[in-house]
Amino acid sequence: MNHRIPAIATTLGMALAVVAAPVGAQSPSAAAGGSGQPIFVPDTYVSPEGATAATPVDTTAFKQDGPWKLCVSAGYLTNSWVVFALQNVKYQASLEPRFASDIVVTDANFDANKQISDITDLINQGCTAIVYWPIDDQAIEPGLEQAVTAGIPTVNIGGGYADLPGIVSNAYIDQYELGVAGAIALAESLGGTGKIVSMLPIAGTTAAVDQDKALHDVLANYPGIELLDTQNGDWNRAKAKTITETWLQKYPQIDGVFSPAGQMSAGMVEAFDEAGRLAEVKFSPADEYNGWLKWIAAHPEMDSGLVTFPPAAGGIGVQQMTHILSGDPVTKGIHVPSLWYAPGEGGALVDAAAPDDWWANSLPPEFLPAQ
Amino acid sequence: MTAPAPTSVPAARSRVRIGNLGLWLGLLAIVVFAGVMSPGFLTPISLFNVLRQASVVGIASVGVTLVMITGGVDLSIGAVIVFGSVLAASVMDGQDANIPMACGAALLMGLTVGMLNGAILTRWKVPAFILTLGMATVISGVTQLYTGGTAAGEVAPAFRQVVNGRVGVVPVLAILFGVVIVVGLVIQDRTTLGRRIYLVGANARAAHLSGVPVDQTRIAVFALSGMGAAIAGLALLARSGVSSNFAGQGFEFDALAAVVLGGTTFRGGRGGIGGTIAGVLILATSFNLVNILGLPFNMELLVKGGIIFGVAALQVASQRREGIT
Amino acid sequence: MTAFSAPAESLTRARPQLRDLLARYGVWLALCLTLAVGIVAVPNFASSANADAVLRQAAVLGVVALGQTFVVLTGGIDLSVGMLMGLVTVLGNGLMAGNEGMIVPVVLLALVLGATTGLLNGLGVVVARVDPLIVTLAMLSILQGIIFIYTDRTVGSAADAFRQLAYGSVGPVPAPAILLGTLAVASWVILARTPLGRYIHAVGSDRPNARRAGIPTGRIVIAAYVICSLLAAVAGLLLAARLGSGYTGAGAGFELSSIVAVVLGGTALSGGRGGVAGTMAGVFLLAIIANMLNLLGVSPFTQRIINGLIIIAAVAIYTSRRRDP
Repeated sequence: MNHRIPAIATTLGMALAVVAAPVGAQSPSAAAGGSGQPIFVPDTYVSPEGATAATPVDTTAFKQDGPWKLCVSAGYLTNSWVVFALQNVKYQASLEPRFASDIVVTDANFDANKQISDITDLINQGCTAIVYWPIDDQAIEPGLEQAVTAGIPTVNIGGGYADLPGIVSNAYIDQYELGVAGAIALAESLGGTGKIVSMLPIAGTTAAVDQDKALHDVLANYPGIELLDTQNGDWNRAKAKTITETWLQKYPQIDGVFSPAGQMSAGMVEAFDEAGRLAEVKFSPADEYNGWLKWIAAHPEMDSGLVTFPPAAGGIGVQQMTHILSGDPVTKGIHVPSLWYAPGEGGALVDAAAPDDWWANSLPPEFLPAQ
Repeated sequence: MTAPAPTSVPAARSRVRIGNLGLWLGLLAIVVFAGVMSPGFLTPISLFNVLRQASVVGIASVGVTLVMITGGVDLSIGAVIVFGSVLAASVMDGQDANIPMACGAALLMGLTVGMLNGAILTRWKVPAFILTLGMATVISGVTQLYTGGTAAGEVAPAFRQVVNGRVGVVPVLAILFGVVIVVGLVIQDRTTLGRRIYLVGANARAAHLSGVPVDQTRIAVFALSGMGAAIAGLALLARSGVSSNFAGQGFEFDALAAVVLGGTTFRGGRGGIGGTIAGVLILATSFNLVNILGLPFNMELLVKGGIIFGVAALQVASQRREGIT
Repeated sequence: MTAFSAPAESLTRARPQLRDLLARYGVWLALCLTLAVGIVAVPNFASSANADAVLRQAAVLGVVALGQTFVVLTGGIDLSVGMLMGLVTVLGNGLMAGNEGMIVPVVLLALVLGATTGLLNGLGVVVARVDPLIVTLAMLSILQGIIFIYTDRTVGSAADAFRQLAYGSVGPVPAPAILLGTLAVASWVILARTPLGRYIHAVGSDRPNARRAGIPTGRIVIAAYVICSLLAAVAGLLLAARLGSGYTGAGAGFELSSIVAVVLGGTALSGGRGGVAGTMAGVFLLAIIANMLNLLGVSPFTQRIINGLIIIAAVAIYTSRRRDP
């Protein structure tokens, strides 16, 4: 368990740094006490995300006294990342006495139409504030707009950034920046030449679109690297493994893998291992999914570093909501920075006693997902 | 040509139902085409990989076939596969000593769900489609409640090593798939239960009048389907190395497509496991083919749709020529 | 076609009148009970704002379930309706791009898409004689492929005037409720008062008999698929107005929820029996239950379990008492 202490310190440090300086996209993180550093993204890469994040938001219309009834509209709950984001929401709300202890959660199970219905139901039952992660930013915006019209502030905690009338503020993780950081790390580890494959999440999601753009933007500067194929593994370890197996039979040589999601990297690396081709390949940095952390802890030679995708975004979104309900000035977006762990350092985040389907976190035990 | 020649299965000798010839020819055509596009495809290791990829849906499809021969359908298998893998992982808890108990727990759960499906179906006459769809929703809710949202537990190292390993070049999962097929074929073609399944599907009332215990037969096939799904859950757990609340969604339709493609219709009373295996392999090979061709996601969907319809139409046409209609 | 229907033999036939009543009006009873519970026990349920919300929430499912009823009455099933709605949403909002002048062309395009899809489904079932589940599953895949050929991400936006279809009101009545009501009445007239409606019932009850009676069964089945797809296209337009953008995942899942609503409403999956009035009751039963569970703040995991149990129980209560034909 002593392995978890650095993780806790790092994530807390990051959270504190963000709270202290709720500014725009390039918020530097102090990363006190841990080895995680802010990711480095050269100025030549301009993120499509968070362009208007520094825009001030007028919160006077939302200011009110407690107790506040906090409600969560989940686009889906079948992914461990969002479950940890939700636990971060509950933990952060428990620290603020003005939030009522009872938090209502609805689950749309990937149905955008249902998520709009859920939001109207939350409005009708008297929620004071709605934090949510969307199935799709634009598709559920009409529901959010109804909430804002009814005087209920909305904060996006799904990791993406959207500047739409129905969204008061976003606690966002920059998928493009983390994609660029991962792609550069991969390209450098290959020495600028080689054949790579790219594994993206569900087609059409912000994550897939941004990461794909990031990879192509980076590859434009590395003409020696050939992208063999891009597929969507849907954040599904088994599917990523199956796709990788067919890649392995199709391509006699694969030098590198671009896969920012640890869930999928964990499945892919197994396919390389079982085909006896582990030695030929380098993986891009992935996120702090525990199954991947376990793998790099056990295979230090495969450790290509980490670029985190912090579920703490949920807690930071609740802090943002607290500011909004207090009438304090906030901006349209608060950047939850991805942290970079150099090879050999990320393994310290692993929780060997926890399941694979778990995330490095700083939550107190009573707020961990029930097991 | 190292590809297995499925049409050489000795059908006449044993009266084992291998399914429609057009179907196996369709499979052969896809395999040959894939081999031409990528010579690496026609190697034993890569063909066995296809079998391994197909094993999870394939194992579950065997039980679903039996249900559908009786004129029913089982859409709860996707949820049972997921719950089975989550339950087994959490009982295992990373300890080799817990493996028997974990497998037992998963099988018992599958058996219970299957018996429950059968019992409700026979007692309250709920249409199987709605019953098992509702059951799937209930089980996925129970799974989420049980795990708190993230997939619990951890696979025992020995379980992973053995079940996901190989005997020589043959993956253990492919062997497991083969064993389930053989057991299914024996039940279907060599037992009283097998005969009753066809009688119930062909005409339940007539079967009842001639002394077939219709309700028990129905409960039995759902129990087998539930257990098959639980075994598929164990296979999924071994293959992916981690339980996940999400991983099994949609398996019920993959299985359904494979079974119907294999010639077992919703009318019941005909078809069989042999055809289902062809259906499973066609779908798995198509998935491979799409990746071999490096098709983008949109083309993949078009090809998948085309193959599903094309093979089914081919089968109908050849049945008509045989005068079966 | 017994796959989806209840097991055929109900051997005890006491109290036929009560059974018939429950079979015919069971869903209405369930709906009234649910409403009563909601009004008495659920805070914020009996408010005009909530009634408005439920009507809007139910409308999309309502329209597509009307269409699904036509196909199910013929003994078929249409799994492609959800993706057709998705294609209409993506293409519609993508081409409209906020421009009011594009509303009429988009509506026309949606109807053409609907008619074409329905025609192809119908031809696949009637001419190629492929199982409806396979035909429409293949169509599902192809329609999704077309969506992703057009775009790989959310595109376009609905014109403000077009959004009124989902968010506007006529007096106190939500616009989508008026659309649903109109289409429901039209569907009821077609099914209950026209030769086409009679033929659809006849084809679903006993196709060989219908053919002997001189009914052009093939054309009737094709007509049912076309009507179904046309209504799905309209549901897609409503969804496009409701989502306000062309989201590539729009519509997924409506194929199953529409079938659940149809069966809850008392239409047998074996065909021939049922109608759109019951379907409407089924749609509102589902919408009201979802709304109540949200208002009560029931945890999402528990909601799933309750949802599944209610579906099973509701169908069990009245199918167990239905007299078999």
